[in-house]
Order: sequence, then C-alpha cells, then structure tokens
Amino acid sequence: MTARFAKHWLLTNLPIALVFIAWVLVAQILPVNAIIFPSPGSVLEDVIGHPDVYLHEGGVTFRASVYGLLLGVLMGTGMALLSWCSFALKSMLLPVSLLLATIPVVAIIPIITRIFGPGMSSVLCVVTVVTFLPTFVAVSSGLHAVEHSHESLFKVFGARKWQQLRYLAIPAAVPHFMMALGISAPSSVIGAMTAEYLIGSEGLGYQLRSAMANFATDRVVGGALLSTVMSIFFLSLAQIACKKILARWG
Amino acid sequence: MSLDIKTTQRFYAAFGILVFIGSIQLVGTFQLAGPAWPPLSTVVEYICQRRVVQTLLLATGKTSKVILYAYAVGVTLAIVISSLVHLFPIYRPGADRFVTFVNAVPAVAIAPILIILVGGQLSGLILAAIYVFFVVYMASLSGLGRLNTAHVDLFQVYGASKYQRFFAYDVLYAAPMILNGMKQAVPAAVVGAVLAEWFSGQGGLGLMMLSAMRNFQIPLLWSAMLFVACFALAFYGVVGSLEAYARKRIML
Repeated sequence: MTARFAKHWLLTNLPIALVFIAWVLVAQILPVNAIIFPSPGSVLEDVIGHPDVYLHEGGVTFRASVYGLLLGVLMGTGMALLSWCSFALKSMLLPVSLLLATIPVVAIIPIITRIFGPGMSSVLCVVTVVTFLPTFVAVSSGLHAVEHSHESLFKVFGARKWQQLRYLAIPAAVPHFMMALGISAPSSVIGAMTAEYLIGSEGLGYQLRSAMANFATDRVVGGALLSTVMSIFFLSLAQIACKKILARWG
Repeated sequence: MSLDIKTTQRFYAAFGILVFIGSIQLVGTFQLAGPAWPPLSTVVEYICQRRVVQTLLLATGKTSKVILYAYAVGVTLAIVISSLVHLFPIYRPGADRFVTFVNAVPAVAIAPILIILVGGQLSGLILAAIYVFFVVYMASLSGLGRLNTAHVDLFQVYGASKYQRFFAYDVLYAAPMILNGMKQAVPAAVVGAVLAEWFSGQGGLGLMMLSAMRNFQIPLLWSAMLFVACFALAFYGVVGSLEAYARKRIML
C-alpha cells in the first residue's frame, strides 16, 4: 500500500521536481553570471533575509486578490440571478457576454487604470472584472441547466418563480458556480499581479518591476515563486471546496 | 400575430448589442467616467485618419504574427502531448500536475525570467504558447476521455490495436471537443502576446497601448484596444466555424 502510494506520489510530482533539479544543476555547472541566472541558494537567501519585504508586498497582492475575487464573484452571481428572472434581460445579455468572452480582458487594463487612476482602486477593479466574467457566464449557464421534466413538474404544481429559483435553478447552478470559482481564483492573483506591474506602487507585481529595473534577479525569482505559491494555494483551496460541496450537492 | 420564441430572442439579442454599444457611446459623450472614456464615435473618427490606420495595421501585423505562431505551437504540442498521455495513462498524474503548476504561475512572474533567459522576441511566443497549450490540453484530454464505450468495445472485438483505434476513432471522436478548446484558446493566445509585449517592450499593439496609456493618448489607447478585440473576435469566429463544421460531420 505504501509502495503504491509512493509510486503514485513520485509519478505525480517528478516533472516539477525535475525542473527544480535542472535549475540547481544549470546554476552550478554553467558559467553564467548570477545577475542573469540566480542560483536557488541566492534566491532562498534573499527570501529568508528579507521576510518583511516579501510579507508586506505579498500581503498587498493577497488582499487585492481576495477582495477583488469576492467582489467579482458576488457581482457575477448577482447579475446571473437577475438575468435568470427576466427572459428579455437574459436574451439581451447573452450576446454581450459572448462578445466579452472573446475579448482578452487583460487588454482593457490600461483603460481601467486611466479611468480609476494609478493605485489600489485600479488594481481592485481589474481583479473584479477578470473574475466577474467567468462567474457570470458559468452561473447563468448553470441556472438554465435544469432538466425539462423537472421544470414542467414545478409548473404543474404551481410553483412560484422564486420557489423555482430556490429549489430548482440554484441547486443546479452550484456545480457551475464552483467550477467558475476554480477558474477565477488563480486568475485573480494573475490579474492583481499584472495590474500592480503596470500601475501599482506596492505589491508583488510592483516588486517584480522595480527588482528587474535594479537587476536584482534573485528578488525577481523570489517574487515569482511567492506569487506562484499564492496562485496554487488559491487554486487548491477552490478545488478542495469544489470537492466538498459537490459531494453534498452533486 | 405572435412572434415565435426564437425570433423574439434574436430581437432581444440584437437589442442587447445595440444597448451595449450605445451605452459605451453615451458614457463617453456625457463624460460619466472622466476624460479617459471618450465617445466611441470619436475613437472611430480617430482611426479613420490615414496615418493612424497605417500605424495600427503595422502594429496589428506584428502582434498577430506572434499570436499565430504561438497558437500553432501551443495547439500542436497540446494535441501531441495529450494524445501521448491518453495512450500511456501512467504519465497522466505527473503531466496534469505539471501543466496546472505552469499555468498557475502568473505571467508577470514568468515573463521577466523568460526575457532574461531567451530574450524579448521569443519570450512573447513562449508565454502565449503556454496559455494556449493549457486550454487545448485540458479540452483534448476531456474529449479523449469521453469516448463512446460501445464504439470502443466494437474496436476491441475486431481486434484493433490501441494505436489503430486511436487514429481511426479516438482522434476523430474527440475532434469537436478539441476544436472547442482551440476556440477557447484564442483569447488566451491574444492575452499572452499582448502581455509579453508589455513586459519585453517589443513593438506591436501591446506596446502601443502601454505607451498611449502613459502619455494620455486616450483615442490611440482605445483604438489599439479595439484592434486587439477585433482581431480576437475574427480569429475566434474562424475557429468557431471550424468547430461547428466538425460537430456537423461527426454528429455529436
């Protein structure tokens, strides 16, 4: 049993481990300058040596991601519920949401920053927009993913509109909602980082930009690693919540 | 006379698009969002100048080249690797974990490292290709995982080998799903290319947007965004119609 578990663990994590091993080897063997290619040791040293910097910048990005994610998901769900209630609104929003889905959201970051000005409010707005769209699209398709016979049954027994929403449409939309959360959670970190990189005055994205300008490559890689850990943390959290809730609702 | 539900829906859809464009115009006209949101008509007028159009088209050409190359590379790699993983499922957990890991790394974090390692030009291509790869890889594996068991049994009964079945059946049956993934990958490719231009400073629409943003050239900023959006929309439409064709042929 343990042997099988170990084999599975190895097969799962070997590719990522290989990347890190290659990093160590290349930094050791190739005669490249540490400014161009920092070794894992120097990156680790920088992270351990300046915990205050990483904690502060990481915290700023973390807060922006969480608040933006909450806002975006709430607004997306609210909009989807509204559009469920009215046939006209639903039909009107459908092509617009399709249109918006094809447009790369990141492309509007410069416009958002010009409207809200540089600073945290722009970063928050970017994260909200990035997470709003997938939530809206997924939840509204979930609300309509109701079996036809169930809908007829509700109608025959004279259920009111809100009862149909409460007992039929919302339960049907829960898996879709969780899926949207899985997509939005890591992209909230990506949105926050990108916005900070372009216009922020603090946060991990800003740290990356200023470290790059100062050729502090170990700090660049350190910030990159921290943001990756954060993004994967968000993703795993969403996946765990998804499993837990689907076991109950699915 | 009562209209049928399809016609009503189409009417509302057209109305929705109209309201969407109209509200963008109105917000600009009445300056509801400040000077950074001009009326759409001003932007269109600005684009119609001969010199502006030439500059924008030049930049679009540069960015679209990166997008198309990255798209081709990402899609090819995704289909090849997902096929290999499908044929040899023992490597599935490792490949899945690795792909999710790479996708979770924020582009802002990879871009500087890529630029250090391979230079600006190539890093744009790699960044966009990574995004494309992830979307197509996921779609392709889920398509290959949903084969019809009755069909698979038939191949088994007639003694087809794993590889014979793969080329004669698996790939074709999963094609609509793969094409759907390729459609979803279009915005991803565009985002990757634009982001890479921001970080590397290599010319194109992305760089144009950034410098327009920093210099308060609001009409230029909006026109560059419109060109990015239109390119993405057209590309999406082409791949979408391919998907529709495949769906019809394979009758899912």
